[in-house]
Amino acid sequence: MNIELKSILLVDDSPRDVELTLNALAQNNLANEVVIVGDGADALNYLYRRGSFAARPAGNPAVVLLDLKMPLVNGVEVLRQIKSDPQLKMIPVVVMTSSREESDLVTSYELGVNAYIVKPVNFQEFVTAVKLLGSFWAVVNEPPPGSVRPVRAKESGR
Amino acid sequence: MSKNQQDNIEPAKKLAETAGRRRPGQARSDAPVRPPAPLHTHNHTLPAGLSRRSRLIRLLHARVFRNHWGAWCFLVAGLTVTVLTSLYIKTSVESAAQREFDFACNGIRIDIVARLEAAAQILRSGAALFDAAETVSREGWRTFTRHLQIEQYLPGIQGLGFALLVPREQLDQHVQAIRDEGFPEYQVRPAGERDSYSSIIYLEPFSDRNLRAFGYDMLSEPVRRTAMEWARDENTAALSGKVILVQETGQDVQAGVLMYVPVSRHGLPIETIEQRRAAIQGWVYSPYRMTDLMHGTLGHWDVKQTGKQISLQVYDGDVLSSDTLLYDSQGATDRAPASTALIARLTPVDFAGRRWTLRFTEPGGPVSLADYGKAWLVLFGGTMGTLLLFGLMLWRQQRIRIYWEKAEAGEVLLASELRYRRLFEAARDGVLILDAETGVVVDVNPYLIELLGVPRDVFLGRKVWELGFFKDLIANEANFSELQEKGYVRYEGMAMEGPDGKRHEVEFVSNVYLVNQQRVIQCNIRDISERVKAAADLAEARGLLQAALDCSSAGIAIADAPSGQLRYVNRAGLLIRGADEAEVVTDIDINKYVASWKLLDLDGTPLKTDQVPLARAVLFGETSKREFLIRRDEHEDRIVLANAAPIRNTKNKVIAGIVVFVDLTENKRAEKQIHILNMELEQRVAERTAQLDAANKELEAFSYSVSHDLRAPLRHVQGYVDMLGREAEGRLSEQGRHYMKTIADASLEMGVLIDDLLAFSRMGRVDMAETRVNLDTLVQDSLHILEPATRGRNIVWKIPPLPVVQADPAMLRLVLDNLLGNAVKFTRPRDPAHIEMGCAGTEDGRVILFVRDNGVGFDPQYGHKLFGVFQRLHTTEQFEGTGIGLANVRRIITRHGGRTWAEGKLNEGATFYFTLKTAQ
Repeated sequence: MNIELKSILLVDDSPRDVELTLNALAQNNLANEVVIVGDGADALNYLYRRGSFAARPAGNPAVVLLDLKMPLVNGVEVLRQIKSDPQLKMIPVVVMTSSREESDLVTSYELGVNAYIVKPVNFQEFVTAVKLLGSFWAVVNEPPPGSVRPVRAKESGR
Repeated sequence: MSKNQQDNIEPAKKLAETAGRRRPGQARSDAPVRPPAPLHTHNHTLPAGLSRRSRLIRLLHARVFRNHWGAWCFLVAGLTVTVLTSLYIKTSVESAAQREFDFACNGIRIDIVARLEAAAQILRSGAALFDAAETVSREGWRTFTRHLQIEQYLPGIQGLGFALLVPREQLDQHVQAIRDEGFPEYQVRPAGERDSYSSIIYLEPFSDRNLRAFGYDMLSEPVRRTAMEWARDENTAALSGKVILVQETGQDVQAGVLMYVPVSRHGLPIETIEQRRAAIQGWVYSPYRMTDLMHGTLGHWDVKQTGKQISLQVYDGDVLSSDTLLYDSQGATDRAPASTALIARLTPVDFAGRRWTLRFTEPGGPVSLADYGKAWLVLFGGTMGTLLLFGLMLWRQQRIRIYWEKAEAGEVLLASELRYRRLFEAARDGVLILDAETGVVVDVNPYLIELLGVPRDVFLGRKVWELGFFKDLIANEANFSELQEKGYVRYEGMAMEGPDGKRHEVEFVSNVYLVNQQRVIQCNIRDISERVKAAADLAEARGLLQAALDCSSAGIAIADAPSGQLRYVNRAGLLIRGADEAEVVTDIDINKYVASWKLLDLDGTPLKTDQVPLARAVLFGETSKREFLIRRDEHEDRIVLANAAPIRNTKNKVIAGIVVFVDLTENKRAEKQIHILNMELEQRVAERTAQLDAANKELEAFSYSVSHDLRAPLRHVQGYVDMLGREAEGRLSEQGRHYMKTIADASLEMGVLIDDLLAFSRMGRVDMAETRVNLDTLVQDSLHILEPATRGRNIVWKIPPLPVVQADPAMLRLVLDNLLGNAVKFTRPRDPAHIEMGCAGTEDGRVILFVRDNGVGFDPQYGHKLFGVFQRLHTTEQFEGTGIGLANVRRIITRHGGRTWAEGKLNEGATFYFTLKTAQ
């Protein structure tokens, strides 16, 4: 496929969810450049290129897939930080969570989330959701300037 | 009863009966024609009353005659007085007239005597002239008389002459001497032989009539001679009797008299009669024509004086006759004495040896009619007045007599009787008239008849104690006797009962008085039932009020205005005050009352008078309330709330003040306690709320965790099963695939369960937003969601238009999803399935909605479990489900204030009801 894939920052503390997400992306050939971090703090480190990510090349992900319930710094904190930073706020953030809590929804949209997805229990539905998500944000959508456009590295990211 | 009493009663009874027969029911109408006899009887028209009637007539006649005698007596007395008065006045007038008359007569007599005296004096002067001179010539005599001016000063004297005594032997010589003087005709007349002669030789004025006397011998005529001789013998003036003077001519003949004064010869002694007779020379004389003399004397008087005409007759001597009449002022000299004179007076005048009798009369009466005017006036006026009054009295008596006759005939009623009759008829008291001797009712007035409801004839003729209306007191003869003796009795609060059994409280006053010498008893009976009842009602009301005041748990005090004297304090008031009655001073003014009750403001300062509500009510007529303290003793104050108001009389004047005061001390204490408890409670509530909030937070955190963390493993199970299936594609046996599918299904169910639990949990917590909800639209949305479940089913829907309700749409949607979903689910075995939704009336202002199906239904025995959480009546194999749906429905409807219930039978369908508010 010659589709130009953009990088995705996947923030999720659950390795199983990560695997399932990657699997779903893979099923749809969308697992091109996925950076995975296990908690909110690392996510911010990555975005601010500090800590273990201080050496990474400049550039923002095309989309951040953000789980809400995480140790240390939860998703809402991360979202708030991203959307309150002029450097980062243009990055599309999609909340992917198990929570249907209305309060989470309301808080997220108030903070300026770009999309909110409740992870379906049914895996096929999950796959479908990830496929739609990935194809839209990582392919169809034109990311804001400054986003990383790495070369296709199908095997990398793990 | 004695024989005598019976006799007295019988006629009266008959009378009453007769009256009753004659005029049934006309007792009143006959009243005005009743006679004026003070006893109100009908006797005059009835045989039974004849004896009384005749007595009455005798009485009337006696009155009439007595009154006539009065008039007659008056007449006699009046006339007597009139006559006596007139007589007295007449006598007075007459005696006054007599006095006047006497006075006038006396005046006349004095004048006459004076004139005679004057005439005699002239004669004496003439005599003196002869005495003084030896001889008096004719010329000398003339001169003398001329100087006397008799005509002027003594009118009425015919003349003044001198008669010479001529002895017989000297007669011729004398005649010759006179003839020589130039009177050749002279001779002494009458001729004839006589012893001596006298001759009037001088007579002045010597003219007219007097010429006829010239030469006349007066001695020849006895009357003259008597006077002449008497004058000579007595040597004094002598008046002659009545003569006809020789001067008379036959016309105007008047009676005449003469007066002589003797002239003696000069030098001769005249001491004795003989000497005088010897010495006599002649007489100076005057003839008097009486009428002329009297006119000359009385000329100025002989007219009416003071309206009186006194006439005068002068008679010679004592005999009054025409022969002796000398003078009559009436003119007719020969007239007989007037016998018609009412008054006459004879006055003798003795002069010069003669007696004249003066007879004075007043022609036509000594007193004129005019003089009697006053007497006549009295007589006439008095008589007329007396007669007039007499007539009036007679007329009045006649009128009275006519009245009495008419009255006796029953034709007229005297006015006074009529007045009293009216009073009797119109009185608002019952009146009974009794015969005092027997006690028989003689009359009864309409009021009593009406009051007792008894016909008139029941009363009449009965004795008062026989009537039976009066329950006590005068109901027996003994009491009646008491009345007869005392003449007055008064019973208050006596019972009177008519035949209708109605009882009246009456005041009974009776007294005895005399009417026409007859004793009657008048009984006045006043119905005081109303008064007694009113008094009783008042006492009852007062008692009630007093009881209310006494029993009131609020203190009540009443003070008089404007004195402020405390009149009443009720028991509760005393209790609040902490005093007994003896301690409460009630006769003090308002200021002292405030002080004595130790009223303090809430801060402990003593209240001023104008701060005390009761005082304000009394002093200013103000309604007010105030909380203050009453100090019982050093250690205890009572907090009271006092409401005071003025009490006004009908004229809006404040007559008293009333205060109602409530002891708030316990209330205040309780209030304080409640306040403290409230504070504590609030504290506790705050704590609980905090705890609850915390619990809520925890619960939220819990649900969040459940929502998030329970779902994740499920999703992982599914994901990995799926991935495993993909990985082991073609390598798994049929059994292996079945296991994998079971794992996947179980996790799926788990997910649904979790979702439902979370929804249920959320339903209890989230805020509701009620609004108008169009049920039709909501139902359509639900059916749309249900479409996957209904696909391929044969379902007959029956959903008519539904009302608009008031609810939270999201929650209501959940209700509909559940109920309709259940209906679809539990009719799965039915073909066709019937699902109906509709409205089943109202309950408590809410609309009852239902969802009915013909599905598998339920055993009513377990119906109460339907709405419990996780309660299921079917196995999952039969019908999938978590057992949360109906629990959610109930929770939502309950939160909306409605209720839910279900009806159904096993295999015969079910109906689920819920109520909702209809939209405003």
